[in-house]
Amino acid sequence: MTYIWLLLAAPWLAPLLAALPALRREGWRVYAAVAAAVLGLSIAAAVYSPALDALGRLLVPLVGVVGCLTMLASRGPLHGLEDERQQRFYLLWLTAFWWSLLLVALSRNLGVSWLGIELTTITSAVLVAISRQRAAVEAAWKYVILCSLGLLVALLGLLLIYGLNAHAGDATLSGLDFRALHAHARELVPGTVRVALIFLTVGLGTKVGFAPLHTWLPDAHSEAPAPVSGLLSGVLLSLALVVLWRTELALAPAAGPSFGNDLLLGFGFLTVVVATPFLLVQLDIKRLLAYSSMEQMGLIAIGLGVGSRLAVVGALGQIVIHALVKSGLFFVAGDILQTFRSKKLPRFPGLLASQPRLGWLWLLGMLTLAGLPPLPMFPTELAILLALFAKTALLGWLLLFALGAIFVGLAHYVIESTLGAQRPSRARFAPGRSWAGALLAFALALPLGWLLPTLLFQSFSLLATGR
Amino acid sequence: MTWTNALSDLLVATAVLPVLLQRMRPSVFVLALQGLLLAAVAVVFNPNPAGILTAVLVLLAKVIAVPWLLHRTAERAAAYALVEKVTPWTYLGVVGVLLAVRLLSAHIAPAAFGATAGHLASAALAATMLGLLVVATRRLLPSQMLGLALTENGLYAAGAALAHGLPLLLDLGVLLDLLLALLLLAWLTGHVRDAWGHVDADQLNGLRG
Repeated sequence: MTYIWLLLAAPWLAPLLAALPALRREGWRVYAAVAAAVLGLSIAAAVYSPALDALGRLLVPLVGVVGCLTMLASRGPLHGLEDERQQRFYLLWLTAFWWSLLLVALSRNLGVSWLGIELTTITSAVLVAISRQRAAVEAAWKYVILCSLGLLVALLGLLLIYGLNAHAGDATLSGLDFRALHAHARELVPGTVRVALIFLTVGLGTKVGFAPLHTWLPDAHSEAPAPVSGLLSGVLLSLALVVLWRTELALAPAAGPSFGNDLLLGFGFLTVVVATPFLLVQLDIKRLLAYSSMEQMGLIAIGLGVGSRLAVVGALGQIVIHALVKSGLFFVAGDILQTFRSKKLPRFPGLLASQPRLGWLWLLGMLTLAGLPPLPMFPTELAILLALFAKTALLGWLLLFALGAIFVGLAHYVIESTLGAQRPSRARFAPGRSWAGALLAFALALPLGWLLPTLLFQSFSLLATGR
Repeated sequence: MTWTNALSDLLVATAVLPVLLQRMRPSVFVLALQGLLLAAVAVVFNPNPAGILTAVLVLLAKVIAVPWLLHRTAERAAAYALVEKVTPWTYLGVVGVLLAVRLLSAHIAPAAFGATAGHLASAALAATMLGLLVVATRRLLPSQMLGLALTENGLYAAGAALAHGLPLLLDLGVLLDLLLALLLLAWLTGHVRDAWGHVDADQLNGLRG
């Protein structure tokens, strides 16, 4: 447990140190140094702490890595946060957001996970609204009200489960541990468990961005500062989905083996279908990335919903690769916004010629996101697709069609933005400095895309049983 | 009629009123009254030191802090002076919820949770649904905050009915989360008022597609 407590305490060292008069001017450097220490602790916790289960060993370092990269990419001044006081405020709330994500990743209890996810809403909403521009305030309002309501619906599901536990004689918080729930699930009333699972799926699904509960997602992700969008898209959505999956696995003996899986499969499919047309017509790069995250969550939910070894390995691998690639792409998008003062595609054609560093990173990230072989999302997407074909060929063809359309759309987008004719008259500003975070994220994602599925395949029984 | 049934019926009444009231000031008062009922529920359903501690927390959060925050937000946003029309659809929603709860209360909930807890569980579900109805039908941002608080109150009562209250850590966490969410929404409402000159949710439509 020592590592867990250290990991939960360490992020708060940064604001404390940064408040010291001697270090006050160092600001971001202090946060970055502490972030590196937190990353080290998250890896150490994954390796040495017996308090973490197999999923925790996968997710805690992931939150550590992406959080650390986000802190690196937050080297100011960020667009819309030029004021030094605003930047200090930003770094403080970024720490709070990262901490709440770590809490969710570390948790093995439904109640604590719910609290952590609710806390992520509050901490990240402050970051969404931090520029105080009209669009940002509007996005933050919608985000808080929709996600808070969604999470209250999830709380109703949690209360039902807790009530059933209490009637079975276990009215304790530890009775909501995923392993304890799984062990006693057969003693619970199946009908009530199914109702609770529906509430939990709808409630947590709001946070995941499942259609039709997704309306907050593109707004919040496009209006937040770019590094925060990376953490929101890359980590937060996946963590909420994993909590939902763990709950459904834990309660499967009561609800029936396919009930939870079918819910995930249904919502996953609907989300991919709804996200695809929006993805194809977007001109705003951050909204495009947000809709892509929605599509990715749908794809991962399909993988988890299919439930076979191949599908789950593909889905978990996709969570890791998506977290790295999407956060990297948001960092690049932040630099593009900083350089061109616009998020609209027609404003920065010919990126390879005008900004080669950003252009190449954008090209690499977008092609990875499109699933182009042999880039790292290809094997994980292929695993999900093959597993779906093995379960239901019709759904497999439908998903293949949607992924094909997305591939064509993203390829067109990449060509337009990187190879299109450059506009010499367009005024340029000092380029942003988030690209280094993107470079590191892609460098990690490239080998992991091929190594991870093998590793996950070997430890599948541990992952699927919560050990 | 037992005390607990009376508390349940009062809970439904305090949930219906804010949906039908056209002004916010009396709704905030009713919300505080509902908080008082929930404190009573906490003690009645959990008559021990933990229940009393929970009741004190509920009093502090739901009778004092949340209504005060809503009052302050509404006053600053000049929302007390505005009238929000109640449409026939809203009346229909209220009737629908009350009918569903009558059905639950008479047939389903007592069989699943026992007579007393079943009655409160039905009332709690009604309060939750009516809170959601407030969020869905109201245009003013402070009114939507009120709806969020009403929804959470309903869920709190559900916790008391289904499991005689939640573990203290979870109870505290839920209360703290609600307070933080409302504080954040109050902060955002201030920015909306400054930027738009009003607090009408229907006109927050700059982000589309």
